[in-house]
Amino acid sequence: MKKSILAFSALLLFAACGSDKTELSFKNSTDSEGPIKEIIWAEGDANWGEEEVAENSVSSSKEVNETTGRIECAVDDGSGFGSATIASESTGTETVSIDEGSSNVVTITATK
Amino acid sequence: MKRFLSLLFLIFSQFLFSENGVIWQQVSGSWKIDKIGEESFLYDIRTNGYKFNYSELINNNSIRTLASYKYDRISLKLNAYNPVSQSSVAVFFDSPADYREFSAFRFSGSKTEITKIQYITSRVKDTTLPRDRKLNFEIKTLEEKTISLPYSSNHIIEISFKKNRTVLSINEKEIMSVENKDRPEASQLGIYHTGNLLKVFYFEVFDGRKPVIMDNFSTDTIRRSTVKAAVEKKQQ
Repeated sequence: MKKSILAFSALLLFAACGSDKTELSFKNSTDSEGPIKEIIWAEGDANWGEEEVAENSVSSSKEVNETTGRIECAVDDGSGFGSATIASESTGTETVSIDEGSSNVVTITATK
Repeated sequence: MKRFLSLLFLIFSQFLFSENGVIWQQVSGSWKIDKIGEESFLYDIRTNGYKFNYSELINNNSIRTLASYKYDRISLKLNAYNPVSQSSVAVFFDSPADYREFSAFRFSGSKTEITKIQYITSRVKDTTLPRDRKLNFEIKTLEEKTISLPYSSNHIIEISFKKNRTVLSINEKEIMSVENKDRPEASQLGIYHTGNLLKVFYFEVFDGRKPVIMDNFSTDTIRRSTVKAAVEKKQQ
């Protein structure tokens, strides 16, 4: 009986550890002026490479280590692809904070 | 008389160094304007660019004029500092519209000094391919010269276009003269860097004796592609 309780506790602990993952995905807003790609989180903590996120679509979700950071992506500004800087809608700064141990979805609105 | 001359100089210098309608387009990096004492400057807070491989300009931290100009002389004062092992700074020109098309003088070096100047060109390899195709550009080194220039010092770079030649001078000394036959009538121009931090104190462009750009970076005229981001939902 003791053994079963111990095994069950270990399982519970394992499950709890598993849910501590911080995940991040990006939604491209309907107000964006085009698809976005080459999304980089927190100076390269995670990057979405060539995955193209169309307007009103959500990217794949990735596990991240950083909970605060800059977001950059590539946008075609008419002369070619340039790197777009981000501004947090809530703070106006170039850093965004996400919740640790949660699945976060950050909505991006890319304009030229 | 002295007072009159000083006033005249003040008015003239205000005209000369006021922002001359130029708007800069940030291609990559995070370019800002700042001022220490009376001297304002353009600088970039990023050392390295991300190798997205759409163009040399996005791979490095670069800034370019938004509009196209006709010009025959470029003059700027810059200071590259805090280099890492592979460091470079380039002044590029003859860049009509597409980021993958330009000529440039590229200064590269080690962690201790700038050791090499290259005259390079960037061209689109296959013009039939869509613009989002990676590595569809080719960088060619047409001329190269060994030099020894210190970091963390101000350098005055001057590039003049004379008939079919482009001449580079650094700190009023002619360093390189290269053949440049097929210049576009008008084009964009700018700077890029990687592996170091960069400050630019002024950027002046002339067409004959006529000033085309006279920017001492006293005002922020940088256009940046912006991305608004909001944390929309969180699921425990």
